[in-house]
Amino acid sequence: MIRRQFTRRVTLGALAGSALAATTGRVLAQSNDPIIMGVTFDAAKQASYYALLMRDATILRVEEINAAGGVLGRQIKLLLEDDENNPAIAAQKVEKLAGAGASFIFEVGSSATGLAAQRMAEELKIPNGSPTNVAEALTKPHKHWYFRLGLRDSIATQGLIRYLKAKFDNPRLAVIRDGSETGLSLSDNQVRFLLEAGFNIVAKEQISPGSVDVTAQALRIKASNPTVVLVSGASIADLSNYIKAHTLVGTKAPMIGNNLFATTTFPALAGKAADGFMFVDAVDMARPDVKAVEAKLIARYADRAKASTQMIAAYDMVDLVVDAIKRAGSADRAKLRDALEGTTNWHSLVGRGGTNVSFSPTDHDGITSEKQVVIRLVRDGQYAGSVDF
Amino acid sequence: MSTPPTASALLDRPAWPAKRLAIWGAIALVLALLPAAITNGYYLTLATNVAITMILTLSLNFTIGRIGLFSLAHSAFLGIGAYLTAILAQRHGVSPWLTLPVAIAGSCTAAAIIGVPVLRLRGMFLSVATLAFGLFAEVFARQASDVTGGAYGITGIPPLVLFGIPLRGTGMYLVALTVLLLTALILENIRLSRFGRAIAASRDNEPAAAAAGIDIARTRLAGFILSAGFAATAGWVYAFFHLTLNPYVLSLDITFVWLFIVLVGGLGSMRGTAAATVLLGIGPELLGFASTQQVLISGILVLVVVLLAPRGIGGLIEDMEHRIKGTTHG
Amino acid sequence: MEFLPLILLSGLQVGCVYAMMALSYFVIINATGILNFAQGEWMMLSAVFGAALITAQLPYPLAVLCAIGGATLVSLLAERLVIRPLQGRNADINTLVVALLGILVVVRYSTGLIFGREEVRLDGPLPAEPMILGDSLFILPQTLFVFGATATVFAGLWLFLHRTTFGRSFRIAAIDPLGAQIVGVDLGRVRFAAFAIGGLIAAILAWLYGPLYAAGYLMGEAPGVKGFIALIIGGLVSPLGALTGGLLLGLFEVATAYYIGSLYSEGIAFVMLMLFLFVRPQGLIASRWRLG
Repeated sequence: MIRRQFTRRVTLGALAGSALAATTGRVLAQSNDPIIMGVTFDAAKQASYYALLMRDATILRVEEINAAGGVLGRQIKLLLEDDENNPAIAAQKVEKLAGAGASFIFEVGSSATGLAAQRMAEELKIPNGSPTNVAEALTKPHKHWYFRLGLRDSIATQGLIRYLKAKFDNPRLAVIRDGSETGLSLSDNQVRFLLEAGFNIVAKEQISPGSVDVTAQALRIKASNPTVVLVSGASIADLSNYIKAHTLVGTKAPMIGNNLFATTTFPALAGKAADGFMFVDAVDMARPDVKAVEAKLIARYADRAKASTQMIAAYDMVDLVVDAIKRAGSADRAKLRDALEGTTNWHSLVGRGGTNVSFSPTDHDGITSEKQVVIRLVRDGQYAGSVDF
Repeated sequence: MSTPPTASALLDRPAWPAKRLAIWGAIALVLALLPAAITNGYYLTLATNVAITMILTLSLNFTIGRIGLFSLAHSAFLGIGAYLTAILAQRHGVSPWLTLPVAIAGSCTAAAIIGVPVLRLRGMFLSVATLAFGLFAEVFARQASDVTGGAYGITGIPPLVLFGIPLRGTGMYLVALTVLLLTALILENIRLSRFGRAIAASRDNEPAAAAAGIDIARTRLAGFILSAGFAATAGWVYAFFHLTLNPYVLSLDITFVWLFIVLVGGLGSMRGTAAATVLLGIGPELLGFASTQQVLISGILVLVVVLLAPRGIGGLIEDMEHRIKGTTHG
Repeated sequence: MEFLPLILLSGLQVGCVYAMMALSYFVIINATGILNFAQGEWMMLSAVFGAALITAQLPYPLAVLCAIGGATLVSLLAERLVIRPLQGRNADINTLVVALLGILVVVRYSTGLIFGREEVRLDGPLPAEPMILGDSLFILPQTLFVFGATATVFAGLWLFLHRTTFGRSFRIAAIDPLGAQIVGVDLGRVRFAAFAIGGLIAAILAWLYGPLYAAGYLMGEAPGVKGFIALIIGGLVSPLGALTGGLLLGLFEVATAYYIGSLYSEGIAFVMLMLFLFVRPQGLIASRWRLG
């Protein structure tokens, strides 16, 4: 059974010093030790609008598994830790979860905190991973203990490139991003990959946080005469401001965004201007198996879970880890890591048209081909499936 | 005769009574032996965090409470120290110990440069100016990717090495503790010194201080620069403790937490600040909602303290002392 | 050149938002000497309340009024529960400012807890369709509303300060608190009214800025900071300072974003502030204002 984890009394003052590894939380009255897993997420800051959703999806899946008898006859105990969107704290929470006996740590905050958490997990030798963080450095160069289910920067960009080449002939690309950590690093990486692939970047603009009016940026981009405008960042309100201005100043070029646009308030926020807006994502919401899980999430979490690809990915990742535990026959960290690495053709909910996840000693990415990148579409104030190309 | 804030001024103070030395020595010893009692690495990490934060809050307490400067630029000086350390150690292979003087020099120079115009301002203008500098530093750290590594910052900082042993865990705890004790020692010495009295006079009664021949502007600037030096040292420790650095260390929310700690501790009270730092550093963990909201909790605490116990924890300690000794307030 | 009118409109729109924020700071600083960093949070409350009430199907005008009222009420509560006791025991200004920062933090993060973390759409009072005025010129009804509301609020405040008895006591209290008390001005009442008016202005601002941006628990931070930058640039002596500083800052930001590029526009306001503080701390519209 899940217990929301609250650390208790192990105080520094305990010079009388307990020799226990600080297993926090209440002791379950069960004969089998529970399998402990940790989740680091942003509870209150800038990444919380998606981190909390993903945490909730993780909780739901674990509850379902526990209700069905658990894994290897053991219940899963989920420990939840707030990383406060601060990389230093994320690393500390990983340390804490390690001390609490976690066999696996799900990192569902921002990429910045994910990178710090991962570094600590590598040092402490704990299997960990993220369903949706895209930072390239999370798996390239290769990390022994880290597993990523979804897209990474380069694959996302290659998927975008595949779309651009299919639809446009030598397109002129304009880039606009917000000032967030995600926006800056994502768009810098994206630009780098695009330039390497021989594309033409004709404009680069930025939105200050809390923007009132981005007409200036929209006009500059319009003046560069782009074929497509790439919109990246984490502050959906700021980016929506651009999307609205883009439409108002009459720029005809379509816009393509990054995976954080998969948040339910986006279509309403950008209004009519978002009609025809596309963004890169990892989950195809039209798939029946994905829809079935979406229904479960909506039943539990209501409208917040509608069309939330992030929640689907988080949900799925629990299954990935549980499958590995079963194959390993134990929740021992090293054995779990080996089993995860040995995942072969595991049917995943992410990926366009379906993805069979296979890891290897040199590749810990779930999505490995640009063909698995989904380009989603917004129409009439709703998420309207994905673009076929 | 003006008061030069020189090293001799730091030393010019009444000798420490033996009892006081004993207390400080005992505290230092206990704290140094703490790692032996803590088996969980996480709690040692927490303790190191508290130590680093305390360097910052003690120096902020000095700036706001003693010098009387409501400076919100403290995070900027921490950042300058930390980033200089990280850049030199990670990118240019400078020996870690050598980065310390550079970090301090860098922050102190910045403090001197902005201090001259900023310290001419009064009251709210000064806080706004320092706030602007602090916010600008954060924006710079986040956007100037060529210099600071941008949003993801600088990773892979090589650890401090002592006698061939890389300092992690317990080693860094002891480094942080040493810096903290030195900071506390220096600040306490200053308090009792002529320089300290000049600072207090400049804060409390400018005309009288000026009449006594104290160069107020120089005294305040010296205090400001000194405080920046402490912040830079904390930044140096921070960089070698976490081995990664990013713009979050410069965020306004963290400055707020330090500010709240200083107020909860009682403006001007070192003991209070220390107590408040420990409280807010490990309190949430002990109470079980470490999961969330350090900023919110410290905000609530500061309101409670400001309304109900305005002299903060330091005031409460003093009251208790007076009660025990049977004295009244001097 | 063809887009100059559009850029000007954009700059003025941004400027009005900053000016209103600056004005809400001004009222309180002028009357009480307190820099209330939490003003942005009253604006946020008004927006978030409003969004919640609209979702709860309350008729729009009622939702707006309740939201503005609610946010103003919170400003008054802050004055009554925190500021008054502190001033009563002559707390120093640092303690007051930190208390207000504490309020800022508590209001911001508890709103996030209660109302959620998403940024949601906030509708303005006018229809959303832009009005096309020419080949390269359009204007949003919301922009007109921003201009109109800003002008009304500034005019209203000016009338209050110069044409009402109570308003005049405000100005006297600002210039010489001790003297004001001697002639019978109740400083406590002035302070209360200052927080009421300042809170009201911030609450109204939510309906200018919110429809342009979004309603969310973090929305108070950026305009909050820009607001007092604008006030300091403009000068703390009169509402004209808030207006000038706000419009100037807005125009400057938009102009640099358009003519130079937007990649570094985030730091510009801080640089401008530091320059002003070092070169002309009394701001553009100054008179014999004491520095502190």
